[in-house]
Amino acid sequence: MKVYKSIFKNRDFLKNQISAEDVIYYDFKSGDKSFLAVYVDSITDKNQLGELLIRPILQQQPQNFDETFKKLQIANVTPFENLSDLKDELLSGKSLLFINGETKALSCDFLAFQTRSVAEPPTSTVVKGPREGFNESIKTNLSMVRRRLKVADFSVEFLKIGKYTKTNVAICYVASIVDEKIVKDVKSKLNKIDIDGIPDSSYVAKFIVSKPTSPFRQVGNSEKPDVLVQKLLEGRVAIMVDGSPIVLTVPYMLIEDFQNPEDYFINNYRGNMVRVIRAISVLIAILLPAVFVSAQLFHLQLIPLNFLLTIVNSVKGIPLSPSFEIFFTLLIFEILNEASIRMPKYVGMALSIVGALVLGDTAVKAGIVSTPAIMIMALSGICLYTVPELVDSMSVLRLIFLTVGGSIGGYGIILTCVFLAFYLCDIENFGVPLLAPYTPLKIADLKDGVYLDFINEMKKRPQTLGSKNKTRLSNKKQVKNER
Amino acid sequence: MKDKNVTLKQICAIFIALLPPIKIIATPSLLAERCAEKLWFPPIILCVLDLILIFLILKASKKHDYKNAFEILCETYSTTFAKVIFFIWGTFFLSKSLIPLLEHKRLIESNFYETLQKAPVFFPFFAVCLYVAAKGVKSIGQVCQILAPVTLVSLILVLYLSISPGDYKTLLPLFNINVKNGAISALNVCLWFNDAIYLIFFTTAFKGKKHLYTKLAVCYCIPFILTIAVYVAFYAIFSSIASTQTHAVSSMSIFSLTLVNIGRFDHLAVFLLSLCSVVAIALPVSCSVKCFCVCFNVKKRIFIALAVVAILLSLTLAFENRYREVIDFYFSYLSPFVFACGYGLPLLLLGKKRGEKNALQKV
Repeated sequence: MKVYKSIFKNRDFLKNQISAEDVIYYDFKSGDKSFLAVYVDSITDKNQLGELLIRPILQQQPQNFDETFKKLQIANVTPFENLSDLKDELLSGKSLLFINGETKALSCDFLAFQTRSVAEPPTSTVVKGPREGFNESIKTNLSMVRRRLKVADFSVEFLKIGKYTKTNVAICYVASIVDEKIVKDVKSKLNKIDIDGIPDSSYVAKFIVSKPTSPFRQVGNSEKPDVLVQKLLEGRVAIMVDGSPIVLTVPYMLIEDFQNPEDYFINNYRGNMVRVIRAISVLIAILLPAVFVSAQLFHLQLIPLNFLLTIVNSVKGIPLSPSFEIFFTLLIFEILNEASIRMPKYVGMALSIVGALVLGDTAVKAGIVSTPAIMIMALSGICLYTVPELVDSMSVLRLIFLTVGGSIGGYGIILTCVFLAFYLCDIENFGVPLLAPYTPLKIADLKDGVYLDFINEMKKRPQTLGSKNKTRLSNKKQVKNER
Repeated sequence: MKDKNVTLKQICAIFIALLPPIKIIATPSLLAERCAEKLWFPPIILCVLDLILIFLILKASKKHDYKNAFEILCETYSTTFAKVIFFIWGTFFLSKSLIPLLEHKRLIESNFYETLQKAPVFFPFFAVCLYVAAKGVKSIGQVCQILAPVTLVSLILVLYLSISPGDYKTLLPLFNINVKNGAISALNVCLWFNDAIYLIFFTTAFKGKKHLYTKLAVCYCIPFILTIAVYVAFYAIFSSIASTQTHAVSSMSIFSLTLVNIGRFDHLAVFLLSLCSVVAIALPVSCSVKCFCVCFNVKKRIFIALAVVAILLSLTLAFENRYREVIDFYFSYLSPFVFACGYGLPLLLLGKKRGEKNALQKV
């Protein structure tokens, strides 16, 4: 539908189409000409609108559309002839300018959102290293990445997802590094999303995975620009969603969750130590409660005699069976965990007291649960949080292992491990297996796995990602001198 | 028969991860029963045969431009003949999984579940086996890349715990060997060895690879040497009563002084080896499924996998308390069949293409 010559008809059309009362229609005269400015009050910088659009028109009194367009000193001005397009522009926050007697109108960008300031993300804090985190504005997030990635082939492609929300989604990659097949695959999967709205990037993640019902994460994410840049430089593709501080990265490998940005900033030996600790912690978190229960129920010979005596003494008079005892403590732990995340901060102290003293100490004294059970559960709970990204899937796994271990013992745990190994080996996204580089084995990529090599030695980008440009570090002499 | 996705590294990992676990349950006692202190000799004969078979399969694969075994047989003989061979192999792999399965079941039940009703404990194995068999050999290859270090570490742990209490003089004299007895014993126990046969499923993976034989032979020999070390340590510990110790892997380390203070720590190694055993038993099942799929031209593996696992389950139920009888029957009647299938039938891959044969005849 074409723009009407009469600004009043245009106003009536927009008023009919958009029922929102925060859309402002401001008509004014400059010389003989009538103008109509239309903007959304809540997301427009009115100072800029007045200073950069209306004041020049009032002062210079342009007589037609072309003159107006030339005389405006604003960067983001686009002419439109179609009224429906202009409506979409208005809804995405742009300001419109209609000129009486003209069949074209201008769309100007005076967007002004209230955004959260750039702060350290709560989920990935570091002692050493950059503390900047993404916020909910896609522009701010892109600016943070751009600041770190000063290359011409850093590509950003925008698309809109959501029938109602029309959320801006940006696909970012370094064109000279990334495998083009991955980019193509990402675009095709994103284009297929047909949903009402995208409130957060996690929605997008659910649509681009190969096994949507899997309890395991298949898309990586980051809240920090420094981490994202490193991932882009390894040959990954980033997906930014407007309104979400979490940027998705694909392809994703399970080992990524064991790689904390700080590992690269601290002493390499310490970095290696913490990675091994994380791996062991995850195993402890998943298997310890199940092994403890199955050892108590079926394999007493596994427990050293002195420890066995301690357990026997502590479980004397406990009304619950070992598996129910651990289930009970697990339930309490999960409740406390859920409550501590959701509750207002000012009641946190009270919860700590209730959790630690009342439920822990008193439950033992009252003879409801035994001390070893509390200890096992606490250890498992703490270990789980050494790799926070895996908490969701690992807590489910812990429950499965506990159920199996409590019902058929150690052999059940073995069978579940076998099943899990096959299941995990089967998952791959964007052509990259979840368990890479361990299976399929890529020896060169093991330098940044549970074992962390010196950064000077990581000369190649991960082979698993199939990067076009494989070399990441080429000046050998310089590196040796620096070392 | 799509096996192009299995990589050479995965084949090597299969050798390392899956060869030892099923050979160290009851095999040491069976060997001790037949050869006493020379229990290491029949495995060495079989190792040599396996190394020769690896060489021949590689040669056949190269000769036929790295086509898969079914295509080679079709090309060399006829489709019907190839299907018959694959049917025989399917049965062979099924029998290759049955006896280790019975041993594995006995090990689990008698060592870890002395006081429990045993049936519900073991039967989830068949569900996992079905899942693995339906996934195919490629998945086994992938999983073996994770399991290979697990097997090696567990074996080394078992050896470490069991090496010191042994009396190694009982193995002397070392070279006073009865070759005939050794050869007959080798024929009898070939079911547990004869691992080179798995290569018939991977012939397409060898294309363009260098030093193939060396790599495969090394990956075959490393776990084999560890297995022989376990046999030697086992006989050194139990000597004349070795033949009565039907669960070698769990009984060997019991005398270690290290365990006095820390409980049956060695059981963790046994658990880990059992984990590898599950996959090791699933490997012939998966191969059997593959053979029957090719033979009956079935594209959905799951149906054949269901049938094979159902047969395995019913055989397990039928023979669960008759392990000794099964072993005696196998030694008396079946071992030549197994030997022929395992070492004889793969030689058919070396045959000349039909076109070439005709040309030669004309000449």
